[in-house]
Amino acid sequence: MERFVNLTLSGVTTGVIYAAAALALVLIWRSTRIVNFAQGGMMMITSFVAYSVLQASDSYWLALAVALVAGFLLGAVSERVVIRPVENAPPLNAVIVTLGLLIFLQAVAGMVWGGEPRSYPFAFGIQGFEVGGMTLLFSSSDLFAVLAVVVVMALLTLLFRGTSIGLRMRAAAFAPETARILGVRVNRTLTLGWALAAMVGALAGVLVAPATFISPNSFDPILVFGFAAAVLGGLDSPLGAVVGGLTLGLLLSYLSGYAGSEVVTLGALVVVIVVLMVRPEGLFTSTAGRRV
Amino acid sequence: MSMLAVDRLTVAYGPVTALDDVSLAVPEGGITAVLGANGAGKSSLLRTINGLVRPKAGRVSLAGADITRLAVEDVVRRGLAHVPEGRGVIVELTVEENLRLGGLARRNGGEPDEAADRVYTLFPPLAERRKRLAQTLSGGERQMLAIGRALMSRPRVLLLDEPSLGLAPRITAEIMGVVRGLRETENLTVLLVEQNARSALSIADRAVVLNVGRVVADSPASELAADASLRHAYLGF
Repeated sequence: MERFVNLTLSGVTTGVIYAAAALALVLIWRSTRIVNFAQGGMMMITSFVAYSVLQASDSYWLALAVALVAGFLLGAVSERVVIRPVENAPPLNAVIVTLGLLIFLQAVAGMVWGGEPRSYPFAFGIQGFEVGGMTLLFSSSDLFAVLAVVVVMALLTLLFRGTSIGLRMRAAAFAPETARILGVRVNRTLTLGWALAAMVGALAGVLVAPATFISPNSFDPILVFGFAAAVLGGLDSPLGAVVGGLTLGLLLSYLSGYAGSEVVTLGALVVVIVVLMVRPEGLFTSTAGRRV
Repeated sequence: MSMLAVDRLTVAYGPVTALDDVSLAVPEGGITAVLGANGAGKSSLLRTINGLVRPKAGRVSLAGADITRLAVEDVVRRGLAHVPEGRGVIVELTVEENLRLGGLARRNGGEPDEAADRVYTLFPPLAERRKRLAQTLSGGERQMLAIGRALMSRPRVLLLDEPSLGLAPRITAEIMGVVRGLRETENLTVLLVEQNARSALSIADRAVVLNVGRVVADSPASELAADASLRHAYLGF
């Protein structure tokens, strides 16, 4: 029982991080129909930025804030400079461009920060909470990670549902031409979508960095898990990304606890394959099934 | 002066000419119908007027101002609203959200809630469904929503693309009645594209007939309706 509780708790903690990574992918997919293969690279750059700020200032919170702002800017600049030219081109062009961006970011990181993995601290302690004499695998840092992701989700929901900017973004995502006819500057909403996505990714990066360390390639697996979570939830649905992330986190936590940690990545890929075979539109989606 | 004027417009998609030297003018408060078969260039005409398509030659002006090179997002802010073919309501949004969206590019201010109330008065079925997704609306209600959404920007000119498409004659008549009413109450200028010539001629004061991208007739609607040979040749009734 204790084992099950602990596996569940650690599943939730990793699940919210997968959810944030998935959300970053979904925000971009639903507005531009592009799978952002550079997402892991963007998270890596913003985590390195956080690392440098932390070295200089010794403030976890300043480092987090700067990472979020850096993510926002990196997302906006990426969209304007490299994605815009391929937005109306065949889908494969965008795939190649995002892969190219990933390699570019990894190369830049290697030149600036080197290839050696850097450690990154947790927000708070890592001593698990004690409940009834039992030490849970859930610390105040884990609680912070869960709360941070929940707050970001709530803010995004508020933005999309409650503001005119959000209304413009949703309209541009669902029906770009109609949105333009109604005066929505779709180019701007796309830039903002990429900026927000990269910012959510930056949060995921900082939260997962203590576990993965930071090196030019250390976030590649997170992209796999984030993609699996997004596919599970339905690439179109932000709610799906969250549910998909939590489900995947729990699933992989049980898998790692009961079957061994070496099968975790395999498990994520099996989830992708099974979802695409059985329910290609994902658990939550607003559009009809995708052809795969 | 014309509220909307199209002067010698030529539009080509690659080697295919969609509009060839097309001119027409709609006076303020006028309703002009553009008639013609499928592929005559009717939708291309509207898409060029509103800035979605760039013409090869020619000029479009709104209340005397040249809008030929303006992007579609700016044209709507000048007071020209477009109700696209196939109604173009955003089915993933609610009725209310569709209307709010239409009001975001409002010309010279005004309260958006007031504008929405006016739309609900014009089209009562929408008022009962304001929290529903547009997906749940019938064809007629979607057309009402598309027109209502265009009105949210307080336009001077309304471009209507095939409003009768796929609708029952009774619903079509109802919608045409509202359009005619808007001309009377607000002096709205309307350019109406239709394959259904009979219903368009019932509200238009002038009609232009397009055939393979060229204007083959431009006359008062009553004269056109009376011209049997023209009707047979291009309008099929």
